[in-house]
Amino acid sequence: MARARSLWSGSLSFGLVNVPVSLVSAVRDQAIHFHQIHEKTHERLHVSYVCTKEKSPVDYAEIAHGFDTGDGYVMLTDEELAAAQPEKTRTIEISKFVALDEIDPILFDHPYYLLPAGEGDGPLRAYRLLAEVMADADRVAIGQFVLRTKEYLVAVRAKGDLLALTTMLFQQEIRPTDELDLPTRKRPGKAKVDRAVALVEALAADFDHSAYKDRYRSRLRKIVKDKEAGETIQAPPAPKAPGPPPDIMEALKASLDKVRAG
Amino acid sequence: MPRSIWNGALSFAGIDVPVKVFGAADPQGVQFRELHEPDGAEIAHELVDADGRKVDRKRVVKGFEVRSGEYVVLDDDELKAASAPKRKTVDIEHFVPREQIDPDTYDRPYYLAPQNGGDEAYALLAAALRKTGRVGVGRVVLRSREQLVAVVEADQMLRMHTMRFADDLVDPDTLDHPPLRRKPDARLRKMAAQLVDGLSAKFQPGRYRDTYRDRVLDLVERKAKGEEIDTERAQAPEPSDDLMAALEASLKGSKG
Repeated sequence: MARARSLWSGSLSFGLVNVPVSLVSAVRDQAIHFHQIHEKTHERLHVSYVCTKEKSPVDYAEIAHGFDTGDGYVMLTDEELAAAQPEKTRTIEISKFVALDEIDPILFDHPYYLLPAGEGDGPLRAYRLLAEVMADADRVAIGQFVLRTKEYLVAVRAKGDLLALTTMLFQQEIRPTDELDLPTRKRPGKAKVDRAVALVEALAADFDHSAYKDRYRSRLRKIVKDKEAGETIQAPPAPKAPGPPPDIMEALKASLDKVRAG
Repeated sequence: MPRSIWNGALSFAGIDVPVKVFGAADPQGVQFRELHEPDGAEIAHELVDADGRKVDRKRVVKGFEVRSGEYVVLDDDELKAASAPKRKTVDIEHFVPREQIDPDTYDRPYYLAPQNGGDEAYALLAAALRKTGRVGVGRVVLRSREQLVAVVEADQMLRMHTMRFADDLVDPDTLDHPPLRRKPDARLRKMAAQLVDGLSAKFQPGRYRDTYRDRVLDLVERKAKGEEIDTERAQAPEPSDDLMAALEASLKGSKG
């Protein structure tokens, strides 16, 4: 088994129960990697962190955080930044248990797993206890914590034997919709809605996640192969933007006939 | 009016609904610039070769490694050929029950607004999704890359979420961790269930506030005044070895 890279470690706390955990990403990097290379020598290049005053590379450990006041920087070290709210950088404090379907997916940021990190029997049992009890009650734990330099709202839920954590944005970080040019809230007529519903149902299916393949990735692989074989890769023409259907009722009817016939 | 990131149409069963796409998330984390701690100078990211010599960005191209140390170079136009749509559309393939989508699948959220006289078709699709509890799953090319997306209805509006592919998600069975052997006994489970029950509530996202941001800004202010920052880090709380005692104490506490 591969040891996943821990991005954070600390304590998951509910009530007075503290469970030591470590955070790993639930997303694998599957991208086909391109590297920055020199156009002539094809030598692979690397990023170097250079001090603009000394004009020489610096060690990553010597990099601090500069806040731009508009009149120069105020510099904070990692240690000073961690002191802003130390409890939130070390502990995910569970404040509530809610139902998963009450959470609007618009808040979701990134999925992770929380792995048990304690050595002793107590912490491991506490981990398993929390996972099992949340699964039984069909509840998701809501908490807050600081990851790197940002605070997140988090949802922790049981997924198989493990605890999954999803970082979420705060409601205040979701753009309001009142600046968008939305249609007037005129209710569409029942006959039209019925027809639209029929069309949606005609294209209904169960969600089979693994049936959707990343076609971009496979096409990119082919392009790399073709290029290597000396073929010329043509840049595609710009796609055409379609206009609206002339008569929505007619279009719905025609589509429905077609889908049902097909 | 914010700026749209994409203009095109939702397309399903031969019907086009012209829409504009807007980013819905606006993270408010404090932005920092990397500085060199000893002298406070800005850090620049430079590309260097193996000998540490700086290479001008104009001399840099994108290479895909086909064998160790061997690269095939592709320019941006050639890269675009990997996702070449004929029409600028979100092609919806199926409408699936909303609850069948695992939350880990959702990536970035966007708002959709109608354009070019698409108001009625937009409202109809929104109404139909609401009535059926379904979500449109399709594909669109955003930023030169074909993405899997979900088109969902919320509050009479349409939104779009980019989605991760199934094989982008980690299989939890491959994660290495200490074995979770001992099953918690019935008494512990009962107490923990009571604790979960006692803290159960309806989710009200507006109630939670980012307090860290203000603390960081406060820290910046204090540092600017020349104050010494106490960096004694809080330790993570002691792991609960006596689970029963911790649960008992928690239950007493929550009953107030």
